[in-house]
Amino acid sequence: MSPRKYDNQVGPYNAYGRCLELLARNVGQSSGIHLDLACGLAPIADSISQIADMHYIGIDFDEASVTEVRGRGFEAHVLDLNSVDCEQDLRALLDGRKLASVSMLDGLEHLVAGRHILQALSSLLAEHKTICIFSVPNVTHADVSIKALLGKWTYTTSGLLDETHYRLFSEESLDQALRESGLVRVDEANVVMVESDQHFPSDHGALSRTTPLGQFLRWLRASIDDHGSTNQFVWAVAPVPVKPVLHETSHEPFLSVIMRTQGRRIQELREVLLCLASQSETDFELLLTAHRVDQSTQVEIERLIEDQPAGLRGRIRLLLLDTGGRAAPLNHALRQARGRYSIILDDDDLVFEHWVATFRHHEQQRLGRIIRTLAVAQRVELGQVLGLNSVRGVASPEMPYSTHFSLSQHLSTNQSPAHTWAFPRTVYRDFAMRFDETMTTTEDWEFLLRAAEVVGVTDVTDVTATYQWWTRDASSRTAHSEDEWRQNHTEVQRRMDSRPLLLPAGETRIVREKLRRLDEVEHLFAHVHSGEGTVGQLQQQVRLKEHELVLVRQQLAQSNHRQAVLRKRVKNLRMRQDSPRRSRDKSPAEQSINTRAVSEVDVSPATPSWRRRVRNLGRMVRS
Amino acid sequence: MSEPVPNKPVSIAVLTILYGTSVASLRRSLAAFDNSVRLGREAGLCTEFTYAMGDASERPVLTSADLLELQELCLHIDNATYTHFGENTGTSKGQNRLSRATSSDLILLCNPDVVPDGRALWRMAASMNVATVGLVEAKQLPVEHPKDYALGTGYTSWGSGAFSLVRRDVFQEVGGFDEETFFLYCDDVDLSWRIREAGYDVLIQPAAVVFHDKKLSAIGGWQPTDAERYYSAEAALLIAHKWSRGEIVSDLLDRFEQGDDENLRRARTTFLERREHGRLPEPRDPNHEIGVFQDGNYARHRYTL
Repeated sequence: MSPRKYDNQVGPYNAYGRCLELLARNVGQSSGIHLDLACGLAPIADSISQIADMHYIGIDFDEASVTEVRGRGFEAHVLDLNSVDCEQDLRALLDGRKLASVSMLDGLEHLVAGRHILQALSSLLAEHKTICIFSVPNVTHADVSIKALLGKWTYTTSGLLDETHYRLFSEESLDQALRESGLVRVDEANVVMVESDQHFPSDHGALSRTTPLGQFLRWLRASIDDHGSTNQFVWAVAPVPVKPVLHETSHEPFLSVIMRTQGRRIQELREVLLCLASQSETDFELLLTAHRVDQSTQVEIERLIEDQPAGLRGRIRLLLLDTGGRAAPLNHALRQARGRYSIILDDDDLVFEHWVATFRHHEQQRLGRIIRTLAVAQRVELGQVLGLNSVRGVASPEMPYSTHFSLSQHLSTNQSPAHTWAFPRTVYRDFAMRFDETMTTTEDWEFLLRAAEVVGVTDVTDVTATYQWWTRDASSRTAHSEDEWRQNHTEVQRRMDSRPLLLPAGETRIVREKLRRLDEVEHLFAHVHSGEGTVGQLQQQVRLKEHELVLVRQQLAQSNHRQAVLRKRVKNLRMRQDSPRRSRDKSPAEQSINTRAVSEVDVSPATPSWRRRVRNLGRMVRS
Repeated sequence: MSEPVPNKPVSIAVLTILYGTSVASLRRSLAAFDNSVRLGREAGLCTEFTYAMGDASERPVLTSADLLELQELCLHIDNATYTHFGENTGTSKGQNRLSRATSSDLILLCNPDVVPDGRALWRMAASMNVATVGLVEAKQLPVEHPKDYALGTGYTSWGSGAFSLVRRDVFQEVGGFDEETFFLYCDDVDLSWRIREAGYDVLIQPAAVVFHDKKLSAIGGWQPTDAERYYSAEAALLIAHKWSRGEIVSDLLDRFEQGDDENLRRARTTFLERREHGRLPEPRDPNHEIGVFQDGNYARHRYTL
């Protein structure tokens, strides 16, 4: 490779400037050797040499670079950092001189077997009690990852996807590579470039920050970690004992139940623990975070845990947290959760026997999605009997929540109490979602909106829980003012408005239906409020229908009259028929009259159809 | 607020009737009871504890191995016994039998699928420090029974057989359950009222909590099974008759006849046959001083369920 393509100068915001910044911050005015591994054309040599009592030594595999560095008056050596003997080589080169600091800027990714130099550094740094500054390109920069997602992977002669890179690093993989060799990050001053050298073609719709897709992908990338714009990781690393590779052997439960308590509701906590002790499915752990509790409350909570049957007691982990607001204990527990799914259960709610079992049953069918069940809400109060506090229901359980989850509906109001939905660990492991600790209320709703958007929701329409709605006693509902609730509510909506939204399949149908109904209401509203003309037209129509009804009624009256006359005639004829002279004695003429009379009755106006017409007209007028 | 305890250590016998009960739910219940006894023993509240199971199923629900496994769960319970009755006794007759087969200061009437909180029993036992208290009921979760009680004292109309603690001497004094009249439902209402008739108090201690699972519909309503509808209808007629509420009996008979629920019609027929054959109990409480009949319930309810 040509050394000239890496002929960059020190700048305050590039890797060299960041390296010097970290050295100044962590090493200061130390004296001895500064070893610059994979030094290339040694851009930092001049700056290092300006530090009193500091001697620069450049190391590179490229002879031309080394020659050029030497030509500038610096000590430089050719060395293969891939070699298993590199530690020995470096020790020989140092020859007993004191090592003050080390740098390896944009070199590790070029090595075939980087672990040899990393292990050598761990040993040397420990021996000389100093640090090394690493600079490594970030392959998870948004420009690279977005293009990769859309099928583009373009090597370049230098930069993030330099064609000579052998190994590519993310934050996690760099951390892991260092840790496995006995090194750990102690400080960082990363190079940030919102548009990297991979930001091409510049009119790529997904790279753009103005297209919905570009905005969504960047929001998603930014929500996972801070490195969507990190061009190079520039870290100060120090030696630590080599961390053995851990193979997870402990049991991984299905569900991590996350509960926070301030210990103010010990009886309610007792009740919810009883619900957990009674679960038909026991494959869960309970992470109970005592948040900002004093010593006596902590003891009270510990005693309550001690009261539990061994089966539940063994599944409870009591965590203590003295900082943060409402959301802090949730995140604190989440960091320690081992379950494939997690769920929040407040210390004053209740769950049914099949609560865990229901989630578990549906996990197997729809892996990776949020599973949502139903809760009834019941108004409750605190009461006291024989000196003991207890919870007392004061109204029938109701179902105030939507039976089916709709993301669009949740954008305006939360319809899902936190203990009705379990979320898979991918939400916080892979999407790095956490409960927003800046929110003083509604943190669960805000989290649900973000999580549901990316992993979706599976509805299970079983009632598995009760939400206890405190009517007059203190609860989170009453502990915060109406204004505070409203502000948080507005904040959730503001955040959702600030970026594109990913709707699940089928959601547009719900939105369309709601819009159609809204259109109808608006149309009706406009019709009613459009002025006298429209109302006048309607009144005119009513008058016309009324007039028509009058006519029909007159016709009906005539018809009834005619019917009555005919009935009378039939009656008379029957009377005559029943007279002592039998009909067979009648003359043919008389028989003819009888027959005709009956026929006339039979062909009289079809009264049912007339009545029907009248009824219809009546309805029209009424409507 | 200090934890209330009984004045002196007590012995308790749990009487529970199995009917097709799953071993898993028994295991869970028994483990919870054993935990209660652990806490009771640690606090010096318990002298002896017996868990008596009476099986009214056609075939035994427990094998020898099951029983052994359950007994092995009993690290603190003194005795866990099992009797297969060989007949469907219902709860009244079955619990009467078990009461005769056990001895203790207190009797705990209990459904086999109920899981008590560790402190529930001792809080209930502490409520009996007042000598006039004959029966104490616990609060059920996750769906609380809606019947009303007096704040402060806990006085209530009746205590549920799903989990009520009764003084043995009071149980015997009133003659136990009326097994001739009641098979499954209202036996506890009748027992409570006879206890009150004998001059004792019936109360609920809602801080003593037990888990007794229920299923609610998607709109939060109760979902009774056919058997529950039949037996509760039959019991409704019988208890109204026994507690001298002839007008309620007539009204129920009319409603059951006019309705289209086959369970209710069947209950009506059974009642009429009993009446015809003189197998109804002698009415009592003619002045309606004890029995409470309100809106189809046996106590004033705080809400409907």
